[in-house]
Amino acid sequence: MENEIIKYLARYIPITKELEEAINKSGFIRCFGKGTLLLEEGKISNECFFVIKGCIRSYYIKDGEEKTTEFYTEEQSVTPTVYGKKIPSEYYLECIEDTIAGVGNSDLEAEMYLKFPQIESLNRALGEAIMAKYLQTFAEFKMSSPEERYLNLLKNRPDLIQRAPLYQIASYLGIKPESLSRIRKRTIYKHA
Amino acid sequence: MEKQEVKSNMQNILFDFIEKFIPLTEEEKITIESLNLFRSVRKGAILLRAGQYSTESFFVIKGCIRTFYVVDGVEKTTEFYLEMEGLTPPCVLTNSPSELYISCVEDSIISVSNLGMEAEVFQKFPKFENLCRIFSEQLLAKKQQNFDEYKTSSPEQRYLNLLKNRSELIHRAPQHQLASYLGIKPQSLSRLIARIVKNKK
Repeated sequence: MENEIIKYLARYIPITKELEEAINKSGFIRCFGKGTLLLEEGKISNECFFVIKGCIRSYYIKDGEEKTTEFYTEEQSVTPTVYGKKIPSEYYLECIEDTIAGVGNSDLEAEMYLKFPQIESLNRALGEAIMAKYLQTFAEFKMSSPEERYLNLLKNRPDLIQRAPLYQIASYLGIKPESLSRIRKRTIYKHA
Repeated sequence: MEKQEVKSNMQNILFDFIEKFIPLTEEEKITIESLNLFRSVRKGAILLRAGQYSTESFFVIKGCIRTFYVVDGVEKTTEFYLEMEGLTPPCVLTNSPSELYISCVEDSIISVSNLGMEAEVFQKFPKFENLCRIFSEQLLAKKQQNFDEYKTSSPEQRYLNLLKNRSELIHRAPQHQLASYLGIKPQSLSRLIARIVKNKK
């Protein structure tokens, strides 16, 4: 699985022998069973994740109800908003499938940046790219009707419909589960 | 105020902001000054149009800018940037025509940088790359929090959150822009505000 990380990095930066060894030795790749909570509300977060295989979702519990805000799948990174700060998390991270992920922490990060400055450059560039995508996703979400949001999901991340339960997808799209069922029926008829 | 004085004022505001993250040497300050970053822009000025290519990032020193899309002939405001906030439009990184517009909500002074300057500064002073990584991580965390809050809130809660977190926006931006920023129809926002005011009494 270290290979997957190296393959991914090689798309952006040259991989030296030293870097490859450092990654192989770091032991930062871990496996989590479906249902594992990687972060809980009220807990401090010292770890960030890079999904190699599987799916992690973030959710809040508001008035006793789960509100899913994001799904992270292959090649997406998950940095909790309170990562590295001494502030308790407001949300949960859960593996909704058996998941293999790279797990980073502040010490590992600092060590890698010191030894391999190109990793820091890469992280800066990736951070900006993620930011740009976030701005677009957020704008799209704001400007779309619930039905359009569902159709966008079908277009942009069709695999999620198979991978996540519908009630989670509903709150991810900002829709009540009953409304999502209606939208699905309606769009199936329209596109049949 | 003399033009030169205004400029050095702006310079100091920017330095103070950067120095919250890392200390700056004289040499670094001189390099930043030589980039000639500042631009005064009038209320209503358009900084980027849909369909344009751009390499420019914006950072607000004073004033307010907003991003908006035009959908079926209607403006949809998606974000406001106030003092010490900024953005790199997505089109800069994807090297494709912009989907959004950026315009000034007030007379503003903004710092405008481009990818070429960035590369030059990173090469001369690698610590700026470190600064930009930290800065972009913080921004990302903030953006993520905003998006989460938006998704998990009702329209009324979104308005109350705005009152709590960025209340000055209510006085600085017109209501129809605030409405689409909050994902609410303008009529609904008026009703909502009336209800909240009434309940307070």
